[in-house]
Amino acid sequence: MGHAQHDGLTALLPRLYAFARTMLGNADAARDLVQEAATRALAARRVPSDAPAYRAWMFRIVRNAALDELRRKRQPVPDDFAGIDLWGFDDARIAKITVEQGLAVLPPTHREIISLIDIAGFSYGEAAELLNVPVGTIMSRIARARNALLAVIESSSIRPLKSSHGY
Amino acid sequence: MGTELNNKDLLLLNALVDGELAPQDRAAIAARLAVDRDLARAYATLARLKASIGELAEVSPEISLPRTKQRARWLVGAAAACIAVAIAIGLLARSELLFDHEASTAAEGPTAITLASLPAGTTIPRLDTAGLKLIGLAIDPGRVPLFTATYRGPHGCRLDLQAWPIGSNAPALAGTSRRSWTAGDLAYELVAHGMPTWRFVIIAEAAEQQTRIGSDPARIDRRLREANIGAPPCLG
Repeated sequence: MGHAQHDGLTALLPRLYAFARTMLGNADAARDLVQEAATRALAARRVPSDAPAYRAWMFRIVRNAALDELRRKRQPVPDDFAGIDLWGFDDARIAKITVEQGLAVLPPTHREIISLIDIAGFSYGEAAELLNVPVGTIMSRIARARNALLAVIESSSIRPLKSSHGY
Repeated sequence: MGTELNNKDLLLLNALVDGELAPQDRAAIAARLAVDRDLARAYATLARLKASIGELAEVSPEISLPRTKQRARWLVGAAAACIAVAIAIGLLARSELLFDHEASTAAEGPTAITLASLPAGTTIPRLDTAGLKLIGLAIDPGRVPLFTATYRGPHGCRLDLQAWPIGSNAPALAGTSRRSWTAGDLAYELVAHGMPTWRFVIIAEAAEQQTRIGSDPARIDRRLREANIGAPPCLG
């Protein structure tokens, strides 16, 4: 690669891909989007020099491309979900398959914040900077988004098999 | 059933799961969790949800990056380093722990631990570069698991690693993130407790690579260093 700053790009690819896949809800489209974003990044003349800035820069590229794609497709999405009772939630319903299915029907704003915090691994401060909102907004957004995801999982007809890992 | 979870508690629990609370707030909510089973259950639900979401990031995309001459030169250097570390790994002997803790982070990367009392090829990764010290090692040759290693970081992050012969069934370790792999004749499982998923994914990959003969030590070292960048403290 042409810049030493790109050394961390390969390590970022799984998270960039997972972020794009969650945003778009389509594995093939996400792979193409990340491939294109990585190629553009490698060709960029100005590249952030430190690792955290580089990570934010790459996610910003992928996020903008994903938002463009979503606008282009103009997929109608539901906006509100009833809250759930966290006290009595059946944890056995939470599994990779139900989470993936649940994320697919959440509004983009919920998918985005969950992707940034739980998949990309951004701190609240980093996510706030990326989305240009206060940290408090991130705090409430992630809480609402997870609540909505749990509501979707609870209403889903999918029942995951019992985990052999016991957690 | 306890009192209804109010909005403030919901925000606090989510921030706790994300490792975003200030120490005094963390201590306050931890004290409540210790006595309020409903609150603790809500926390467990959120932690499990976060861990399950994080598993979605473990899918490796089939994305290839364009290569340049500089990258090709780096690969040649890495190949040479691989040969060097493969030779170094074979030099350890006897039935005790065969390494020097202080000498673990040599410039070319961490040196995994091998034990003569365990089957050939059994490797215990070093994670010091990521700030995780090996604090416990239980060895039980001939049984399952063969060993269980515990690593701990300065902020309470904890990882447990166990290995057993492929075909055997090891007892499941509890944790919020996990990665399993096989290397040689052994199956390995690494489990984290409260560690951000992105960080765990990097560390687990580095641990796995250390169990494989011919891995690139420079890459492993770089990955472990990356795992330290901007890492929020673990709940410990």
